[in-house]
Amino acid sequence: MKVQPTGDFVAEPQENITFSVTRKGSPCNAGFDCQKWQSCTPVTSPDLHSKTKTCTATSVSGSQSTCSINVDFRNDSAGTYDPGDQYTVTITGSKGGSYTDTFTPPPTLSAQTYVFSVE
Amino acid sequence: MKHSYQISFLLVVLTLCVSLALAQDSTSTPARSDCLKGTVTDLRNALTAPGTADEKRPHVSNILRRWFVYVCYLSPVDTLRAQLLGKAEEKRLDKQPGANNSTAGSTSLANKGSSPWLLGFALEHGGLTQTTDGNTITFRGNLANSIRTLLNSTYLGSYQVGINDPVVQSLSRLSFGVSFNTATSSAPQGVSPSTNTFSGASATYELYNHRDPRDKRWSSKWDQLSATAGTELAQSYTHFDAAVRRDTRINDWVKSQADVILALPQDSLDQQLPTALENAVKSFAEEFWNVPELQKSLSDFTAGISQYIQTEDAVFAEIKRTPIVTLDYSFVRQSLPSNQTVTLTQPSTSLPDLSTVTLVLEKGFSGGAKAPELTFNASGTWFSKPASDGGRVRDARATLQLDVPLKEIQNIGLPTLSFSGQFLSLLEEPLGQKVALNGVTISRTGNMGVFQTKLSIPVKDSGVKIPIAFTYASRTELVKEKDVRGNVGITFDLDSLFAKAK
Repeated sequence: MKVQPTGDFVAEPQENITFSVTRKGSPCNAGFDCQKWQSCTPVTSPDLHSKTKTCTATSVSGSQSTCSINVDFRNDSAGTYDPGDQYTVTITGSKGGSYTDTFTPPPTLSAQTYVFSVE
Repeated sequence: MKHSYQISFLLVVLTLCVSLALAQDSTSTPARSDCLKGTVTDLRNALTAPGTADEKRPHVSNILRRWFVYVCYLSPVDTLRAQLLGKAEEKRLDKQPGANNSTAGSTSLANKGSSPWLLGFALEHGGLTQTTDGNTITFRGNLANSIRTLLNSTYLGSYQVGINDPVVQSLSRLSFGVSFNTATSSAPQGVSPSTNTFSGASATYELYNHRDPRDKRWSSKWDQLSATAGTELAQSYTHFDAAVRRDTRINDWVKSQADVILALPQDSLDQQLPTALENAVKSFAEEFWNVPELQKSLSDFTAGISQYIQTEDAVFAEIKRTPIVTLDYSFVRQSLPSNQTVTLTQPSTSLPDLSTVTLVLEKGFSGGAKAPELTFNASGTWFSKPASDGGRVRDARATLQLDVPLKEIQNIGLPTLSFSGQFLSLLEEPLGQKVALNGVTISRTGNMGVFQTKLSIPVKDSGVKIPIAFTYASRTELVKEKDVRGNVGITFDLDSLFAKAK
């Protein structure tokens, strides 16, 4: 997996890409929407702070797939958030390469779409 | 007459504050630039990380595609912006940084269910059932949580220390409080805590409290939220991102904005980065915001945000409705009122100390952040040694309090109005031995009723609250005449400050 200057990624055919979301606080309120992959595992929660999902790239060169991840800092219905809170998204390719993003509030909701092309 | 002047003044203050609160909109108008704060931090972290500009470019380009920030900044709907900005502070009604109700000088008729997670501080003037006022300074804290904080040094991290250890979890439910009577301090200014000024101590154990959203009890609720509403929100974000990317100009726009940000001098990022990001958002507004296809996707996206928040609020409401059950023990060192009108009829004997056990039940209502809360206290107080007629049980009390959050005051915060009533049955002479008031020996047992209205005014983002209370008593413990008085104070919940000091 390689990251391009545009921020988009290039994956090798059938490479497994793992998306890990970790929150400094808890609970880890992260939502995933991964589209046009060959397959994806369900979201797992190893602990209160993190969520993980792994998707397999297709074998079709030039095909594009996306994974949107949204993160939530709200601690009550007034929208209270901890200014020191942070989500870290780590994207790891099974054939090498990793990329880390951080999200800090405000806003109390944030998201990023990660776009992958098959080499 | 002395009291009537004080009451008139405090009534005017209370009326002004309530009027001001009610005159404000329920949500203050948030600043658009606040939408950029988190992203400025993330950009600064990306720019100051080791590496060349080329290595940083992918991060900067991605961060420039965080559309929540643009929606927050550009949305014409203030309510949506207010929802996305939230509040960087705690607003729980169930904390009590001040003294227990049995302490002279307390402004609280009812004890609340929770203490500050870390440390609290209160300076209060008044007296609820005694004949004379007191000045009390109170420190409240949680020993186990203080140690967890020292071990981890961050507020969020400290919560995780020993989270799976039942001993740590049990100990963290225990908090302590120490009060000092400032009126007896010999210090020329302020209070000098010492055995001479010590007026009481308390220990509070939370028997049942699951109000914290981080509590393991709610894990399945949060997982369910992420799997359903969270996924739907991510889907609506995917659609919005795709709509932006369909505009062929977007890659060039991201590149040009990334060029500007990457060219900023490292030593002036604090000054220039917020402006550069704000200019990028304004540039996006000019180039793309009004494109019809984007507007259509935007409409679906903002609807998705509202739907997610509504679903999440239902979980928060369920958490807030859960009851709190707390057991509180307090020790109060009795002293004669300082105005010298009360004297012991047997000066050779000392006044007995007091011990009080209070069961606190607290329950929230439906209605989200501004829902009222009901608190019930049942307590009994006994003397450390038998009273003059041999009895040990001083009194029994039952207290009911309703806390109603008012509308938010812009740039101040969310004041709370409380109404409470207490029935107190004095079974023995209040001081444990016969006393003389103005030279006349008195013996006062019997029932009394106390009613209180209290307004707690927060000082924005500081953890400081100013309680102003009016209390009417059908009689006082020493004088069989009705009594009306005002109480003021200042409380400080250190949790709010510590949460910001990372």
